[in-house]
Amino acid sequence: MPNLDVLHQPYWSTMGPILILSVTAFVVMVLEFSVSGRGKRWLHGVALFGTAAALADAILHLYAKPQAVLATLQNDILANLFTVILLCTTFLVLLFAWDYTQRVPLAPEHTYLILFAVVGALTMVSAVDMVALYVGLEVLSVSSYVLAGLRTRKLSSVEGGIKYLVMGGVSSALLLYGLSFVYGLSGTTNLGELFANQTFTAGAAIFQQYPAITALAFVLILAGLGIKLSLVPFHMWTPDTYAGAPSPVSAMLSTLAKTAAFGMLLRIVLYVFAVSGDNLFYLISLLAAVTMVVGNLIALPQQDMKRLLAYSSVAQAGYVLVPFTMLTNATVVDWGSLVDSIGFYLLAYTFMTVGAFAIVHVVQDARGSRTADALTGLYQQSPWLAGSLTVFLLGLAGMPLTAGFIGKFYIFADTLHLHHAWLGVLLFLTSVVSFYYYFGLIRKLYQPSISVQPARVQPTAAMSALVGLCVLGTIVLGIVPASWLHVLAALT
Amino acid sequence: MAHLFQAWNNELFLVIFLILGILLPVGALWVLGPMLRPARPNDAKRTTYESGVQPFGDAHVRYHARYYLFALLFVVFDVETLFLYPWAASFHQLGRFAFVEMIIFLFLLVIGLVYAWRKKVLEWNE
Amino acid sequence: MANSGFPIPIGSVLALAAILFCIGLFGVLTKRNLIMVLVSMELMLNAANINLVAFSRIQSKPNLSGQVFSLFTITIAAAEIAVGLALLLAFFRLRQSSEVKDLDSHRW
Repeated sequence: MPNLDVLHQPYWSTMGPILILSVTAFVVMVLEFSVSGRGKRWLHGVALFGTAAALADAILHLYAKPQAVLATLQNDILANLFTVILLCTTFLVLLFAWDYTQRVPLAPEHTYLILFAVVGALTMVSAVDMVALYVGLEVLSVSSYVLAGLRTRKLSSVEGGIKYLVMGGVSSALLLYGLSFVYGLSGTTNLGELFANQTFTAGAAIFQQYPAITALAFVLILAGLGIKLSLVPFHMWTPDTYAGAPSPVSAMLSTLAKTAAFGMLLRIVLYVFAVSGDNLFYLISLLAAVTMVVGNLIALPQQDMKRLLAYSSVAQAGYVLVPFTMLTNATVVDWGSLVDSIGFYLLAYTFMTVGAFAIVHVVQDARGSRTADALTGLYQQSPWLAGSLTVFLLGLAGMPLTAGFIGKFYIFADTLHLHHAWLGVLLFLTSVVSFYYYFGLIRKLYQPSISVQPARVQPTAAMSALVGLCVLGTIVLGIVPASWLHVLAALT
Repeated sequence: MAHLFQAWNNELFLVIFLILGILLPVGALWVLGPMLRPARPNDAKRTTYESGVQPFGDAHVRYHARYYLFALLFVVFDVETLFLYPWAASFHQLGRFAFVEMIIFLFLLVIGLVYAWRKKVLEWNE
Repeated sequence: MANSGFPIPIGSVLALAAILFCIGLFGVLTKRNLIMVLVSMELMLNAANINLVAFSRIQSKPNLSGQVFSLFTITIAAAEIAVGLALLLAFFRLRQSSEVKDLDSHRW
C-alpha cells in the first residue's frame, strides 16, 4: 500500500513554478531572520532569482502536454498563460519593492510575503479543485492584508489594511457560500470532474433542475470575486487601500491579485456555468458596463495620483470583464480567442500599471506630494521618467502604438464578432472619458514648473530596470502584438 | 393515558429537572441562606477575595496587549491539530507519502515558530 | 451511510446556514466595533461550513470532500482572524479606538 510512485511521476513538473516559488519564499524567510543588518539587502536578490527561475520553468513548460497532479493542479493552457503573466508581474513588483526599501523603511518581511501571495495566485490559476482554488485565494488574500497594513506606524496604511481585510473576508465568505452550493448540486469539489459530467446531459440536468440554487451560487461567486476584482458596486475599499498601502503593494494588488482573480473567475465560469448557467451571463455584462462607466467617471475629479490609479484600475477591470460575458454562447474556437483577449489585456495592463505606480512613487518621494500638481515640470528635470510615464498613461488610455490599444482592440473585435456590440461601444465611449484624466496628467508633465525649482528625481538601478522593462513591454506588445499572439495561438 | 405518559416521559423528566435546577440554587442562596446564617458584616468581609492578596484597582482592568500576541500565536498553531488528527486517524491507509507531506507541513510550522522566537514575540519585555 | 445518525432534514440545516450567513452579513454591515465585525465575518464563514458538511451528507454516494473543504476553511478563517486582530492592534495603538467610524483618515 505505501507508495512513493507519485514522487517519480513526470507530471510533478506541472507544479514547477509553484514549488520553486514556495521553496524560495521559505529560503528568503529563513534568511531574513537569520542574517542581520546589511545582509538583508540580498533578500530581494534571492527572491528575484527564484522568480526568474520559476518564470524560466514556466516558459519551458509552456507547451507541455496538459497533466494534473492528484486531480488538483493542472497545467493546461489557462494555467500556463496566467502563470507566465503572474510571474512577469511578480518580477516587476519585486524590483519595485527593492527600489522602495531604498527610499522608505519597510519591514523586510514584505519580500517573502509577496512570494507567498504569488504562490497563492499561481494556485488560483492552475487549480481545478474548489478546495485548492479557495486555499490559493486565501493564501493570496491573507498575505495581501498583511502587506497592505505593513507600515504599522502609518495610520492610513493600517486603515487600508483593515478595510481590505473586512471586505476580503466578506468576499471569501460569499465565494465559499456560493461554492458550497455548487458542491451541493454536483456532489464533487473537482471542477474538472464536474465539467466532464456536465457535458453529458445527465450532469447538466441537476443544474437545470434547480435554477434558483444555480443562480444563487452564480451571484454569490460573482459578488465574492467582484470584491477582489473591485468591480463597481464592490469597489469602495479600493482607493483607500491603494492609497494607504506601500506603493509596491498597491501595484501588486492592482495587477497580481486581479490577474489571479480573473484566472479563477475564468476557470469557474468555464467549468461550471458556461454550460448550465448561460442565462445568467447578462449579470456579468451588467457588472462590466457599470464598472466601466462608474470607474471612469469617479476617476475624473481625483487629484491624488494613487487614488486616480486606483479608480483607473477599477475601470480597467471593467474592460477585462467584457470578454467574460461572451464565454457562454461561444464555440470552442471563440473561447480561445476570448481567453487570448483576456490574457493579452492583463499582460499589457500589468506593464502599464506597475510602471505608472513606480513613477508616481519616485515623484512622491522626491517632491513630497502625490497630487497631480507634483508632476509639473517633470519633463525638464528627467525627460526619461516623464517620457516613460507618458507611455504608460497613453497605454492605459488605449492610444495606438501601445499595448493598451491592441488589448482594447481585441476585446472590441470580440464584442462585434460575438454580438455584444453595445458593450464594445460602451468600452469605446468610456475610454474616451478616460482620455480626460490621463491626458490631464500628461499635460502637467510637460508644463514648465512655475517658480520653485522642485527637488531632483533620482531613480535607483532597480527602478530604472523596472521602468525600462515596463516601457519595453508596453511598446513591444503595442507594435508587434504578434510576438505574444503567436505564443497564444500555439497554445490554443 | 399510560402510553401518553410514556411518550412524554423524557420531556417530563426534562421539565422536572429544569424546575429543580432553578429552584434549588434560588432556594438555597436567597431563601434558606439568609434565614440560617448570621449577618454581621465588616469591612474585611466585604472586600473582594483575591486569594489572600490585598485587592487593588478596579475590576474592569484592561488586559495587556501582549496577551493578544500569545492568543494570536495560539490560534495559528492550534488549528494545525485539524490536519494532524485526520491524518493520524487514517495513518495506515495513507502510507509513507502522506507521512512525508505531514513532516514537511510540521517543518514549515516550525519555521514559523522560529520566526516568532527570533522576532522576540515570545519574550515579555516592555 | 448517507442518512445514518440524526434524521434532520437537509432543508432545516440549509436554513440554519442561511440564517447564520444573513446574521453575519448584517453584522459586518452594521456593527460599530471592529471586533464585532470580525466576529460577524466568522459567522458567515461558519455558515458556509455548515452548508458544506450538510451537502457532504446527502450525496448519493458517500463523499467526504465537503468535510475536508470545511477543515481547510476553519484553518483559513483562523489565519484571517489572526491577521485581523493584529491589524486591529496596530490600529488601536495609533488611534486609541476600535470603532468603525474612526477608520476615517482617507478623505476624497
